Amino acid sequence: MEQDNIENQFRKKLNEREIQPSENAWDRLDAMLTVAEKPKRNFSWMYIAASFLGFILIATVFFSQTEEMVDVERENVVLETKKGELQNSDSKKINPIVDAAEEVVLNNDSNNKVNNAAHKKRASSHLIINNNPNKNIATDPKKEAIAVQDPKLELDNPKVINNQQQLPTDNRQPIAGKSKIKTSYVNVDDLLASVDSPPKKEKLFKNEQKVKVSPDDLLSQVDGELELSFREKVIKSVNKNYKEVKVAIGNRNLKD
Amino acid sequence: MQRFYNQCRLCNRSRLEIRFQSEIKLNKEKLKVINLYQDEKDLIRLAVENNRHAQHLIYTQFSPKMLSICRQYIKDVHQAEDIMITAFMKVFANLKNFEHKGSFEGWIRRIMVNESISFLRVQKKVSFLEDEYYKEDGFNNIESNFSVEDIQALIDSLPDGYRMIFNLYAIEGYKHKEIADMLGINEGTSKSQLSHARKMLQEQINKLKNYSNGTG
Repeated sequence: MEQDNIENQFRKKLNEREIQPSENAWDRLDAMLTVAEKPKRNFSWMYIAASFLGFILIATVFFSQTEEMVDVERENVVLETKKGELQNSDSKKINPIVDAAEEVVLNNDSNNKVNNAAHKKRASSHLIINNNPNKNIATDPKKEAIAVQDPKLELDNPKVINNQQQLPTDNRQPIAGKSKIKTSYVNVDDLLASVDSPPKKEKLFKNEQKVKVSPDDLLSQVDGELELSFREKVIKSVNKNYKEVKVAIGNRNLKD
Repeated sequence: MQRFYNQCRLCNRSRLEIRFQSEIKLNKEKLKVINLYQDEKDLIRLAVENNRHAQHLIYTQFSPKMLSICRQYIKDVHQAEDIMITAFMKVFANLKNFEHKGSFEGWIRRIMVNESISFLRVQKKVSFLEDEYYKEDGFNNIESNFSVEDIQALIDSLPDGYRMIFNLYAIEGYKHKEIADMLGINEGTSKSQLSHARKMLQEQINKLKNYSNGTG
């Protein structure tokens, strides 16, 4: 066909043609090849690490926020403690109950979950310090250890008792510890059982008004807190919230 | 040998530096590559291993023809060169996938054509009107012998789309079905585009003839 002829001619001539590329063409190709051969650095792991760090940061901030509120409450706790130190050891058992009841009342007053938890914690730490007015400095860390372990009460009760029994100090400690452990359970139940507690309640109200802050004990408590591991913080806050809920449920029918 | 050194200089080292510092090393490598030139398979294997001299040899061997091919599709020779370089990057990137089943040159050529087509479609936004009308027209005045420059000029006179299809059918030898698959158009569109292209070419040939007849 004619058009085949023409097209054949085109094809033949075009295929034979050669055009020399410019001098820098190979330069550019060489540069591109060099870039391509370089191992490509993968940065995707950075994004994963950054998001992980961000998550940890947020979690830390969150947990430290709850801790701060506890600190404020602890101030109150410490002063109540000092008050308690003057009391007779015989009334130790009553005091914990009173304080715990106080805590319950305070819980009702504040209607704040976090505060409740703080109060609970305060009560327990309060109890510890209360029961050992004559402790020496050497045993302080241990007491604080107990204080730290207290949030884990419901879970570690037997352990806590054992720890306390291992302490080489006065015999009251185990008993006191035991009592203080149990009082945190007993507090709500006692109050509910003893309906004739209005007098106590009034007393509690009075006690409540004397709450003040003691800086030294606050500092010592903060020191103990700073050493808490992340895990302990988590456990503490979980226990705190659990107690809050428990108290709230217990107090649901109480008059404000 | 001299030419080889000229091109090696372009690793940003002066010719003198290369000659006197690594002359021996380069000689050895060059000798090695030249010996392997006889065996295309080994050359390809070296290029796959990123041996720059092997890659360079492949480039010098095939680039003139490949630039000519790109020039068929792209009017501007500098742009055609750009496309050729991009296509060579793809050649070296996919060299490991070359199965030695057909001719090496044919494989490179296909990559060139594909790259040219995608350049025209993407950058130049060449598109095809779906148009099924065509009729078979023969070329007239076929006795004359065209020079290759004339031929290129004739082809350049076509619009990008017509030229592309004309090249694929008449120069590369693809069938309408294959062209339709490559470009994502109907087979009928391919046929009609081709007939439009031929018609235009015919007009241009006539013009050329009349012009040359007029002056000759």
